[in-house]
Formats: sequence, C-alpha cells, structure tokens
Amino acid sequence: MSKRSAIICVDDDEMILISLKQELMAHFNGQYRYETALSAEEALQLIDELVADEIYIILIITDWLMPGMNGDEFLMKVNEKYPDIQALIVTGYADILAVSKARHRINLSGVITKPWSSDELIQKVKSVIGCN
Amino acid sequence: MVLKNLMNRISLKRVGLAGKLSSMVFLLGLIIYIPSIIFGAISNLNIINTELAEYKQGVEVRVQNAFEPAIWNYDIETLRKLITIELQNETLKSVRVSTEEAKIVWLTSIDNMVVDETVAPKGEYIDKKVIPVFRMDEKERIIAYATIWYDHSTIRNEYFTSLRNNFFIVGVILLATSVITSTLSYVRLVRPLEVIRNSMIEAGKSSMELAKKKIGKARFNNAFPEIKNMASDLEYMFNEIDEANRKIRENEAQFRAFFNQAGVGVSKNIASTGQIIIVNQRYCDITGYTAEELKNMSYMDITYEEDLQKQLVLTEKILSGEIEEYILEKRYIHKSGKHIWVEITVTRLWNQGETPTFFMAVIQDITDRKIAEEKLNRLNNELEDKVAERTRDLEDANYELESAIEDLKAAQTQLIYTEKMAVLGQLVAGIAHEINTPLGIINSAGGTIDRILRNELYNVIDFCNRSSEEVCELYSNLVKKSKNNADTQSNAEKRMLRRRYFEAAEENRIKVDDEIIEKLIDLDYNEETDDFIKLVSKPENIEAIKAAYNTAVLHKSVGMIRVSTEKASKVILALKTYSRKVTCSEMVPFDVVNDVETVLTLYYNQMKYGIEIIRDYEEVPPVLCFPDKLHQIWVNILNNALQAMNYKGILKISISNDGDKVKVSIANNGPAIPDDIINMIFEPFFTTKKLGEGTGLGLDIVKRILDEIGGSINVETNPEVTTFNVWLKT
Repeated sequence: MSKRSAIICVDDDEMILISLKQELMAHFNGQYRYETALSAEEALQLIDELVADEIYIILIITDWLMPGMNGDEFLMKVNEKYPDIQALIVTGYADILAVSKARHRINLSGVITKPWSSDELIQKVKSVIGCN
Repeated sequence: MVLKNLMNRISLKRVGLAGKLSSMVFLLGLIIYIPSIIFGAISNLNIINTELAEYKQGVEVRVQNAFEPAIWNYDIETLRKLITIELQNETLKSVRVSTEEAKIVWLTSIDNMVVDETVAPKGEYIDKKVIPVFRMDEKERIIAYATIWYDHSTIRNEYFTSLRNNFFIVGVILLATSVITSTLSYVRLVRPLEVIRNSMIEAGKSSMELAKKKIGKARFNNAFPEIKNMASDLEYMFNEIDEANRKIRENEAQFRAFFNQAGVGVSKNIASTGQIIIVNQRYCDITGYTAEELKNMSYMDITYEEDLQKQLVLTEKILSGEIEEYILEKRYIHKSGKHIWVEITVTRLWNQGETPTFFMAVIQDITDRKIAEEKLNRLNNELEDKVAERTRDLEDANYELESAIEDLKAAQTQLIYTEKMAVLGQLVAGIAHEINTPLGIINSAGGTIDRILRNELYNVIDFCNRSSEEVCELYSNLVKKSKNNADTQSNAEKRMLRRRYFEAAEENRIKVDDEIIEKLIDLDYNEETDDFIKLVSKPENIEAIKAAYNTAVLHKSVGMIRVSTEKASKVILALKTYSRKVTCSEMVPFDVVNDVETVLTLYYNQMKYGIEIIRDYEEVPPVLCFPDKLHQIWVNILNNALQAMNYKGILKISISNDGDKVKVSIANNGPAIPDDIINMIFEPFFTTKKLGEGTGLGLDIVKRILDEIGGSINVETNPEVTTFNVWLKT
C-alpha cells in the first residue's frame, strides 16, 4: 500500500462518518488514508488490521456516546495497546462534562463539539498532526 | 298413739299371715278328708244294712225251723221261751205269732223286760215284718204267721257314733296340723319377715340407722335360708342406701349453700300458675319481699305490667315445648313500689314430652346498667346535637375550604405544567444533541457541496465535453451503481476489496493511485479483479472515476441534508407537541400511538446507546384525554424505567385494546421494585432518586392526570420485568 499513514473515524452514525471523511479529504486530499468504523469494536479490529499492514495510525476521531463500547472505554483500550496513537473526541454539548472527567485516563488530544465547523475540525486535526 | 296403731296393724297382719297359712292347711285337709269320710260313711251304711238283712234272715230261719214244731204242736210254753230268747236281741222289739184266725203268743220287750203285749210298738226306726211259717214237709201249707218288729235305731246309733268319731279324729288331726303349720310359719317365716318389714318401714321413714339396727339385731337362725339371704341382702342394701343418702345430703347441703349464697336471685315456680315455691335470699333482696310473702305469689304479681305480655308469650312457648329456656330483660315492681330492671333466665325443669312441672328462674339486677344505658342514650342525644352544631360549623369551614381547593386546583394544574417543563429541562440537553447532530451533518454536507460545486463541477463538465461516449457511459454507470448499491458492503469487506484491487494492480504492474481505488470502493464498485484491471488500465477511465465520485458525493450530501432535516424537524415537532399548553375544558379524541412515539423521539438520544425498544402496537381507536397532559404520563413512566434500567436493556411498549379501553404497557427488564416501597410509588414526594434529581411528583402527577381523564394505572414487578399498565377511555 502506498499510503503509510491513516486517520480513523469512529461513529455510530454513518452520515457523520461520511461528513468527517469528506471534510478531511477536502482538506488533506490524498495525503492520508481515511478509514471509518461504525462502532468501537469494529474500530479496534480495524486498528489491529492496519497495524498488521504496517500502516501508521496518526489519529483517531471518535464519537463519545456509542451503542456498545463508549468513546472513553474505546480510547482506554487503544491507549493500553498503542500508547502513541493520538485521539480526538467528537461529542454533543451534554457530554463535555463527562469527557473532561475521563480526559486524564485517556490519551486525549482534543474535543470537537457537535455541530462542528469545518475550520474548527481541520484546525484541531492539524494541531494534533503538527504536534506529532 | 301412732305407735300403738302401728303395733296393732303389725300384730293383726301377723296373725293374719300365720292364720291364713294354717287355715289354708286346714282347708286343704278338709278338702282331702271330707270325701273319704263321706265314702267311709256310705260303705259303713252298706255294712249295717247287710248286717240287718242277715239278722232278719236269721230270725226268719229260726222262726221257720225252731218255731214251726212248737206252733204245730201248739206247745205255747216252748214257743214263749223261744220268743223270749229271740227278744234278748236288742234289735227285736216285739214278736207276735198268730194264725189266720187268732193270735197265739205276742211278746214284747220293753226295757229288757218281756211282757205280753197286744199293742204294736211304735217308734221312728221301728219296722214290721210278717214271716209266714210253713209246715215242715208241706211247703205250701202256712200254719201261722210270725210278725216281728225290730228297731234299727241301735245300728243307726252305732253308725253315727262311728261317724262322729271319725269326724272328731280328722278334726283333731287337721287342727294339730294347722297349729304346727302356723307355729312353724310364724317362727320361720312371719317373724323374720316381720323384722325385715319393720326395718324396711324404718328405712321407708328414712331412719336408716334404726332400720340397720333392727335388721342387725334380729336372729334369723330359725328362718328359711332364702329369708336369711334376703335379710343380709337388705342389710347390705341399707348400708349402700345410707352411703348414698349421706352423699345426697352432702350434695343437698352444697346445693343449698349455693342456692342461698348465690349472687343471683333464684326461684322455683309452678309451671302452670307461675306460683313461687321457693326463693333464695338474693331473690328476696332484689324484690324486697320476704320468702314467706313470696310463697303465696306468682311472678306475674310482681312483674311490671308493660313487660308481662312479653314474658307470657315466652312462657307459652316453653310450656308448648317450642323452647327449653329463655332470657329476658324485664322490670319487677319492688315491694316499695319502685321498678327494678332484671335479666331473667327461665329454664324448664321437666323433660321434653313430660307434663310441665316447674320453672327455675334466675334473676340478675341490671337496674344500674339500665340507668347507665339511659344516661348513655341521653349523652348520645346531647352528642348528636353537638355533632349537628359542629357539622354546621364544619359546613361553613368546608365552604371556605372548597374555595381554597379551587385555588389549589389551579395551582396544581400549574404544578403539573411546571413538572412537565422541569422534565423538559432535563431532556433539553439530549434533545439539543438530537438537533445538533443533524445540523452538523447539514453544515458539513453543505460545505462538501459547496467545495465540489466550486472546485470540481468545472472538471466534471469539462470531462463530459471532451470524453468519448464510451467513457461518458462508464461515468454514468458508476454514478448509477453508487446510487443503487448504497451500503451493501461492510467496512471490513470494503477494505478487503480495496486490498485485493491494490494487490491486483501491483501484480499487473499498473500504476494506480491509491486514491482512485478508494474512490471506486466509495462508489460501491464491486467487480471481478480482471474487470477492475481493465477499468484502471485506461487513463481516460481514471478521469471518469474521479468525475463519478464527485457526482456521487454531491448526491450523497444532498441525501444527507434531506434526512438530517427530517430528523431535526421530527425532534422539533415532538418538542413543540410536548410543550404545547392548550387549556381544553373538555376531553378530545387523541391518537395515543402518536403521542407515545413523540415521547420516544424526545428520549431517543438517551436510549439509542443501551436500550433495545420493542414495539407491539395494535390498531387502537383514539383515546379521550386532555392532549397536553397525556404525554406527561409516558414521560414519567419512561423516565423511571430508564433510570431503573440504568439506560441499558430491553424496553417493551405494548399498545392494545382491552375491552372498551386502550391499554398501554411499558415494561422494562430492570430490577424489581422492592416490596417495601411498591405501595408508596404513587405517593407525592416519594422518590428513590438523589436530592435534586427528581421531584418525587412524577407518578403522583401520572395518577392525577389519569384520575382526571377516567383512566387507571397499575404496576406489576418481578426480578425479570417491571410493567406499568395504563388504561385509557376511548
């Protein structure tokens, strides 16, 4: 595979995934691979697959509230296994308090609130990737 | 005097029994001896008659044989001698020998002296017989007639003498037998019996000691063994009776003590007349009369007139056997004239079917109780007056209270609405999320459309203008396929496909941009590897793929905007419906399914992550309600359910027809409601939630709303499932 870096988006709403992917593609063009998963479980599988293919995961953008495994639990698991992977959380206003409570337990680089503006999203992503 | 009479009677009786026995023996002897005497007498008589006949015959023979020669020879002297000899026999009284012409000799014996006599002797028992004297050798020749007179009184006398002797001897024997019999019977029978009898008489007079003494002292050596046994039996019996009597006396004494000392009045009355036979002291105390005075009275004499009729009816019943006893409260008239209330228990003293004998009446003075009752009645009446007065006061207060309640009702309506808004407040954050998400998508999709329109549209048009028809067709086919095949593959499958295409391209040494493969996958391209190789090996096809991708993204974005707008407006509609405050004065038909769904929409955000919702809706008619309040029912039940389930599990909502009502059941598989609070959950201000999390008014409000619209609610709970059932009128 030609692209060695990937950004993973996790959300239970497919439309959100499509939107995120479009935003990222529009901005970063073909610079990265954009992978999506509809649940945390699927995302963990996806991460393992990508790591096996020696693809470097530079960022995970995940929803906070999901059926099954929640965003914080998901990120804790990722953090245990791959401590280097950065993460952004996309969340509704109501969950910000819960997210900030969990912040110290997970390798969280930032929070994006719904509805996001395109600029905010790209700026947050850039800042994380830039830091790296 | 009495004793003397008794003695006379006893001695008379004694002689009587012994006499009877001996005279019976005597009579028995008579019956046996008299026929034998008669028989003996008859046989004696025959003997005498035979003797007489023999004697007569002898005389006849001697007359013929001895007298004949003397007569024939006319030897008078010899004849006289012969006759004299014959006359020595006492029986023969006189002999006359004569011919037909004249008498020859006639000699008569008078007092043993033989004299010549010419007169025939006279006497009761003197018979005369004429004997013809025949000539010895001439039988037919009668030479003289000898006439003889003989007297059978001697023989008679002898006969009667012997008869008398016989009678005398029999009499003596009979008398002796009688005497022996009477003596024996007196000694062996009468005297012991007399002793027994005497002692029995004593026993009969209840002087058992005397009786025992009498029978104990007596000697029964001479008595018949049967009587001896009888005596000892009797003695045993007396002892037993004496013991029994002693016990009876004891019991009687006890009874008497009870009777006299009883705390209740007791009387015994003649059943037919009611006359008093005996009373105890308490009875006297209650009625004021002495026992002596009461003895000549009937209970009717001292019963208060008004109560008598009642008692007479009961008396009639007891006399007829219909009842055995009765209890009555009645009044007596005390000797002093005042009325005494008693409770009287009357029992009959005869058995069913017997002739009525006596009543036993037990009376208890209940005057004090009656006075107390009257007092109570009076107090009751006073109380009733007071109650009436208080009731009037209360009515006034009530009127004031009613207007206060009116105010309260208005406040309550406001409270219900406030609670509704409080719930809404709790929901708002979640609902905001439900609106924000579609808005974010719309925003993002708008940005994408804008970018494509601005940056790519020109490329697409340009591509169409310069491309061959074949490539244009490929373009439109890819766009179509993307529309038709949307979301048929999972992400993992898509990744697999992508890897396969990538590897195929490398194998065929075709330089394909990774981005192109990704775009193809996003276009839901899913063909054989060979087709893929053919597709990507032509550079003009790559242009078509890019153009098709942009077009498909436009389509998708527009679609997303449409869907998101629908979602947001649904939430806003639900919000509007929920918060609407319409004050209807009358209930209106309302679609309950729609109402439940509105609430579910509001809660969607809270449920979508952990709750599986099962809907089981029947076709139901509209329910009658105040629409602005109905969803508050579902909100509160749902809210409780979600909290109980901790937002995880299965929520089953059933809407069904139940008779003429509509039944809505909301079941959650959270833990059961504990027994100790199940009865309190509908109480106002009862809550299991932490301070600030719940008002404690939820289910109370549910109940109020249901009361208002004529609905009802119940709850069934067990560890598997907790169900709230709501019934609504249609």
